[in-house]
Amino acid sequence: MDEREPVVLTRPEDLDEATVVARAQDGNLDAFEYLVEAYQGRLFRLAFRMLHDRGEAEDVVQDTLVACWRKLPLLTSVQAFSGWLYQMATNRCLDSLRRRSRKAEVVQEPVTLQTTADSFTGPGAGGDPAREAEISCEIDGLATALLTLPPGQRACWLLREIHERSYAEIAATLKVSEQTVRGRLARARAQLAERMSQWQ
Amino acid sequence: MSEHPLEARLISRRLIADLAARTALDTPGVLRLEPTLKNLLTHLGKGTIQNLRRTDTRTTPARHDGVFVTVHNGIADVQLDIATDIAFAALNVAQAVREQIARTISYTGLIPGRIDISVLAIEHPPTATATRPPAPL
Amino acid sequence: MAIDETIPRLGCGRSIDEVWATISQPPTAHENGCAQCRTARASLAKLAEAARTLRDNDAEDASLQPHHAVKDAIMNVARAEVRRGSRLPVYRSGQGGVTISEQAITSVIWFGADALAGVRGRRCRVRPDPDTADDPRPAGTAGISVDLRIAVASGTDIPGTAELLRQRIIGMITAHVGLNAGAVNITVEDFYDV
Repeated sequence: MDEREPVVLTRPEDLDEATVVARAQDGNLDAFEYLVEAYQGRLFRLAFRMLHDRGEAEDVVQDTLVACWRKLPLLTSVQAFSGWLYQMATNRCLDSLRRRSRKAEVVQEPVTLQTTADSFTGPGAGGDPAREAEISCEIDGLATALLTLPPGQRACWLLREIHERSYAEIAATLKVSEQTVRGRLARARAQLAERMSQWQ
Repeated sequence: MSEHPLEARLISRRLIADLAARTALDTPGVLRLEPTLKNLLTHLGKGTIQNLRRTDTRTTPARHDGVFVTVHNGIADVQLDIATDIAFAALNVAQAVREQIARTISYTGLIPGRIDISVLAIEHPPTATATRPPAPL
Repeated sequence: MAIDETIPRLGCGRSIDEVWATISQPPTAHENGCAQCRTARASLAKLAEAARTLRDNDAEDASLQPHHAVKDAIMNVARAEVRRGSRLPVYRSGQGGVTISEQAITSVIWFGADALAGVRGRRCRVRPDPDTADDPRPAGTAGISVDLRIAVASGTDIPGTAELLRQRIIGMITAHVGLNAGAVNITVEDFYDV
């Protein structure tokens, strides 16, 4: 047994994503945990900007990634993984919003987003309080304007402009044509631009 | 049925489960016992159904983290799920565990029945890193 | 829904999309002369800038991460519902037998593939050879077949590498599992960037 090959462990972070996805599909928990780490922040940011509610956004992340684990063996193309995750998360956000409107809840007030504004320590500010305030104002303005868009438009805009998903993928996610995606995006941009200039 | 109080039967099953678990863990190449939810549910399910039907509770398995034991007519059946060290050949380890458990059971006065071993995982020991070569067999 | 596809137009007839598409380029003669286009360009440019800020800032913002309990909950479900593939019967007798999970064998195969430069082991199926499970046999003689899909680094000598990988997998399955891999089918499904 002395001529046995040395056994080398490759950590998921040293593999390409498609390989990690394939291993998670075959039930490897380390591979899946790596994918959870890699995607939970992105999915949370999408859900938070869609729903403006930490708790609901966390539910979306948890539901999406649990469903991901359960349905992974059915995913036919490892390359489609991230689009598939975004699709599940987006649809959960839209379901959440539909449930809200069914409950006839009070429409979300365009309040300032204290959660993000208070904790802002982002890059580029360089400790300059005036620039920090400017950035935080810019973010709050846009985030607040976003909440006034219809959910379908908000999803299109966030997926395209923040998460850089393709038109084809967004169309598949929302089960509409690419032309509809372009239309929604254009109207979202027009409305956001108008809202933001109103508030300046 | 009445000459063996329920309590005594439970203890003896637990004792066998405990012995089997310890024997397995003492066998070179066994990293740990591997409990699974599915097993737990299956076996709890069996027990529950048997209890509901009020059939012979002597066959209700005892659970001890990946070990399932049934004792009937003085014969002990054991089912054990393990993870083995990648430095060893898993089948050899499993066979060694079967033989050791049979021996341990025979010391108790019971007769070893079916001893089934499942190797669910083959892994590096938790402390091992890529820089440490596997231990020799 | 036709209205869903409609792209808003400015008073001068140009669509928002047209203005947006050329926003990073110098204004055209029309845009310079048209007040509506100038306003639209300015506000869309401001939106583009704000979107960049939001994207960069959110990505770095430590408060825009789910609580760690979320990941714990996800992993608890995954661990409770862990998939180990089928349990392959590798030894059977009247006094019980031995099964080895497909996943246990797969992990050994991945280790073997990972140790080979330019190879990434992906999905893997392991089956027992039809006639092997019944008799007691010494380790290394009960047979299994392996179907492994791999990605290779571009520029890899595929036939040579596949043969090397096959030999390695056979050796590893003997040494670490105690079985004999009779057939090892390797499919190259992808290239990955080094």
